[in-house]
Amino acid sequence: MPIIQNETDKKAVIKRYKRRSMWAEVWRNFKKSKGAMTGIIILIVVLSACTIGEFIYDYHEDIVKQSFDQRLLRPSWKHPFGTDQYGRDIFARILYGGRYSFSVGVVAVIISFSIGTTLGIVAGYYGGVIENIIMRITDVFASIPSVLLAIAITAAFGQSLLVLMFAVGVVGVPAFCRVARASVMTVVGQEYVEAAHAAGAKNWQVLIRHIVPNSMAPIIVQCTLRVAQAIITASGLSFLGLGVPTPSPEWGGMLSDGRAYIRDYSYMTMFPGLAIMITVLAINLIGDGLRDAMDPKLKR
Amino acid sequence: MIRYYKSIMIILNRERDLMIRYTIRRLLMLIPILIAVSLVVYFIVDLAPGDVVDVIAPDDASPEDKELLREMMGLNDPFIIRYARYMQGLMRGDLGKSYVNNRDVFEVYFSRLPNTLLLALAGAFVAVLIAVPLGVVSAMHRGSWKDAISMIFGLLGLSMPNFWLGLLLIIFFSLKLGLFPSYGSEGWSSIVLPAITVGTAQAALVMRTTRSSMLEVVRQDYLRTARAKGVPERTVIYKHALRNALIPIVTVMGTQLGVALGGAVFTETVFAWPGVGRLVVDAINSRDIPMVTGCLILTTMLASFLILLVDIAYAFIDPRIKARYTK
Repeated sequence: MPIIQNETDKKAVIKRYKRRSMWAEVWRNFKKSKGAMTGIIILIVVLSACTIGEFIYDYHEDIVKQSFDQRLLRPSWKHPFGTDQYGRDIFARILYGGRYSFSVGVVAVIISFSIGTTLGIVAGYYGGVIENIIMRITDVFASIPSVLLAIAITAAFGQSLLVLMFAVGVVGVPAFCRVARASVMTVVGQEYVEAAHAAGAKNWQVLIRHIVPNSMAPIIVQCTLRVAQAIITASGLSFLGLGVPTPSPEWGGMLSDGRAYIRDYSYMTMFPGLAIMITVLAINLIGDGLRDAMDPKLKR
Repeated sequence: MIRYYKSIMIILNRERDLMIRYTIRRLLMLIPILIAVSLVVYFIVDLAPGDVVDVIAPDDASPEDKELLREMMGLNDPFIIRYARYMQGLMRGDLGKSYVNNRDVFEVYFSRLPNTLLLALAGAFVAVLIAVPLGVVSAMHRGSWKDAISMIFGLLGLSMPNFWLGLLLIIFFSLKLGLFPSYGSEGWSSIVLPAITVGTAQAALVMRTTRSSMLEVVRQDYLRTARAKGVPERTVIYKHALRNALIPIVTVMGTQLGVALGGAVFTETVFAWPGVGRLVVDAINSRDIPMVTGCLILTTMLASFLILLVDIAYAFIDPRIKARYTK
């Protein structure tokens, strides 16, 4: 008598032995990590607060309009985070300012990811002279302290949101290039790559079908952690007066405003910094969780 | 003994020769990197709008006069010639004069550099002081509340922008408690807050490295052997385990030196610390292009040089690395 007698049994067997895709596996591990879930929850709260702020506040009325009768009010029910030296509500400005941090973080990482990963994959796959050239150029860029490179770029191209994204993005390229190369090099030696070549696959087919998908894990982790890094760098440049131009409410720029009033109105420096830290903390938690989930061997 | 002396000396000499040759080779390899790095920085800053003629020419100078002046000063030469001329100047210690106060860029830079190096070293000291014990405790009591607290410290340290940390320290320790000055560089007490600021971010990284490196080491057989033969637990941890876990920690500290030179920009701005970071920021804010170029190129070259020194230093510390490189 066959073991599988009817449809229900068949489904049960399939369910029991169903292959989980890599992503399902990662998600299963990821869910178990308390830190990562905390990170996700914090990030969702921060993102939705910023989105809601978009609908409540009007840029000209609430964010940049100066009202001198309201200046330097301490935190109260009406102004939860107080008001700044021009009488602008700090809570509203922080919610509105989230867009700069998130957009710079994400766009900068997209820039470093697309340039860095492409170069890294090419270097790792082809090797030889090409690899040598790419890696030496990477070495040169990596040995320039990242903050100074970003400062040089903003000094050369002037101050704007786009330049800031570009500067922070360029700074991240070497890290991606190195991670991608290292990751590809571990995959290139595998039997299935050799098998694909033996079966007559072309170079680009092997690259796209086999190498890239199998070397993505460390790169994705790198992406998350770099977003956190990019947010800090971007707000740092704004703090120095090289980032988003005033009066836009960038968190780093707000910190720099608060510095002048630090003696008597320290709340002005507290809240923007707290906003940066909480956001970056959430992303770092997610990045750590992803790393553990993708590579259980690395988990400590 | 004397019979063996000769052969031992031959081996030692051979080893020393190899190390010297290795060091020289690494130093020679640095030259192209320095050239490339300075070329990149010079190229980027060269893109900045405006030049010296706009600053020095009298207000009533006609565009033709300005153009003539540019021609005479060689500003219209191709990029690569201007770069070569700049590097020649660098060799002679002449990087031009500041647009703002006409002071010699090279001189100003090197008068400020000791302050930045002092701050970087003090920061590294704070980092090691906090991070290594925390990392060891965290690895030894893995999964306990001590581990959790250390890991939370590590995450907070990594997530906190260090200019904000600096501002918080000022609020609590100099404005509220009045313990340390909030700016300047007079007396030993003025370096405390900047050093903690620089040190905390590094401490987070070093702590995480120490922890994972220790966890790697505690599984090794030689620790079991040490315990089995009755070595006290403290000695096992600090002599047998930590010493072997040290290489990744030293690596992180080394790369952090370069980072500290660039990151000094923030700390020095917050604490008005008179180092090269503050110099760069001031120069950019006043559009002082020769100063910006000089600072960026010199700092970048210095950072590459420091990273290389640390790299060479490993080869002297770790026999395994030595073996790999002195072939």
